Amino acid sequence: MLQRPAKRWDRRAPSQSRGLYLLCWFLGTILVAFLVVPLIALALSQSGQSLASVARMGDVRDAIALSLEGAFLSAAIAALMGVPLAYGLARTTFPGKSVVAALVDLPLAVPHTVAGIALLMVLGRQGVLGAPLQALVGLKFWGTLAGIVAAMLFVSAPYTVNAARMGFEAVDPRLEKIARTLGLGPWRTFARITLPLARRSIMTGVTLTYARSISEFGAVVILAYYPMTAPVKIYELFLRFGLDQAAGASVLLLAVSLALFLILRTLSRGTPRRENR
Amino acid sequence: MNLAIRLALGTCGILVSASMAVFGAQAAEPTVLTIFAAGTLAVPFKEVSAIFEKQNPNVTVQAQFGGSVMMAKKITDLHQDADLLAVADYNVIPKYMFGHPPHAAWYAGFARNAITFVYTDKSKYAGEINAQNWYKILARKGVEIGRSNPDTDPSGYQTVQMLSLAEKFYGDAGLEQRVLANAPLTNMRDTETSLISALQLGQIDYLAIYRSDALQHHLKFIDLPGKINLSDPAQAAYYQQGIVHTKNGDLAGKPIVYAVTMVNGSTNAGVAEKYVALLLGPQGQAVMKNNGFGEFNPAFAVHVEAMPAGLKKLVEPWPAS
Repeated sequence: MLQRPAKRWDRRAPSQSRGLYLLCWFLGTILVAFLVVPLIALALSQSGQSLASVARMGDVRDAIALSLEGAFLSAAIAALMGVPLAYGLARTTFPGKSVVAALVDLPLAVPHTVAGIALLMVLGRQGVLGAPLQALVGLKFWGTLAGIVAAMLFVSAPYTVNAARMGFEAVDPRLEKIARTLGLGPWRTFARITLPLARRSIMTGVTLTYARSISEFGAVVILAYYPMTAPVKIYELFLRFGLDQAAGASVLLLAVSLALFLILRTLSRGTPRRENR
Repeated sequence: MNLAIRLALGTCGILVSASMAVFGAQAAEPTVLTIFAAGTLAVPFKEVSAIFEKQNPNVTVQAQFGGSVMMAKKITDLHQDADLLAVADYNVIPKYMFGHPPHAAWYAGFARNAITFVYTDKSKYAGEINAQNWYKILARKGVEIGRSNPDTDPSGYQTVQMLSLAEKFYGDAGLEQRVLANAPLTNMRDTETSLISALQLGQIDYLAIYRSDALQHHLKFIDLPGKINLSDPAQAAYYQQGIVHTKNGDLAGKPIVYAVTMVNGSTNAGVAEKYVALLLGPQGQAVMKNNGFGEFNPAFAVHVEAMPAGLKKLVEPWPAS
């Protein structure tokens, strides 16, 4: 029934474009080396022994677990609310649409300390949202997981919205119309046609949001120093003990993150639910 | 134009630029003086640096500010180049900079500071608090107190030492614990200045901080007694009774004395020495005083014999305490 666009082309390059591919590989390799060599240097600076001793520190494990938990919640909320927003931006036109799209990007341009202070202004004990939320449901954002997730979400949600929006825009609206003419309702069209076709973009966006959330320091530390997320813990270890312990904890966080990203990439590349060959 | 002429011209060009690099460097290229300093010194050091740059037009001062220990570790662990290091607690220099290999050989105390609590009109009980009843108000239910991390930051452990001294000074058992109960881990940061925004937004009511910061940020503060606020070098022996337990061991109270040192291996030792002379001299001391610091006249120094000759005459040996 449906063919995924990637399958239309032969993966092997025609021979005359070899020069192009060589250039791509050459430039790409330089960039990959630039990105990976510092991380390898960081990893190699640590002996297995020192890594093991850092891994045995309960506070380091707690901090990494808290980072993963916060980032998971942040990515989940970004998916839950960002994907509908992305669909709306991709499929509808309304006055001020470009303003909304620009507003979504704005957090990426705000220095993270400023983001943290702005959030505290709104979510703090005397903030316009913070005060009633604390009074009505006891929800506090100062030194809590909720505060950590709020800070993470603020700086990372745009990645999900943008990637999902590009994914939806790449889905040919005619496919949706055909599905409708064949009797599928709007909800099922979205769930069976649009969403699966935009799935890879959405997963890419959610993965970016997740990754960005794990690494966030500046905004999180304004709202929550304790309980400590991994970046805050690494900073504290650096202040208390120096480079070695901090680097050890960093390598540990990198290893855990790498494993998770590999899993997420595999999931997003996996076969869509209904693929006809 | 033939090849020989081109070669000759090229050689001339190289010679001219090389000689400019050798002889003209001092006149043309500005010397950059790099200073790593405690965050509390940001405002006065910018003023001292402005005076210094006016007196030495060929020098550009580049100062970086952060936690004192962080700044020392940037030199010792991260091997960043700095010409001068100025810290909020003189103990940081022997502890981190006198190691192997040594990164410094001496230090001179050049300013004093005091621990205080700042607050705003919005703070709970702001209308009632004063220098006599502060420890009772700060222990009241619902008061939120911010402070710095005692495991990583001098002002963090100095705050607890001050409370421990207050407990003895007022003869009020349990004072320290009652006040700290209102300063939970969630109200802590690695440096207290990052909590000023939280104070101004009403997230916390009181913030333990240095007197100099209180004045520079135009915040209301409690003028704590000299016996407990760690400002008076003459009270050094008394201050030792104020003890704090940190993850790095127990620390006894000491007067808050800012110290400066020249970093070994600095390529601008001559310029750095001039800067220290300005800081220890009357102009530098006036700037420190205007920014809420206590003067230090004459400055005390440890390992005077290792100091450059020009600085020795500005200091006296640190009195044994």
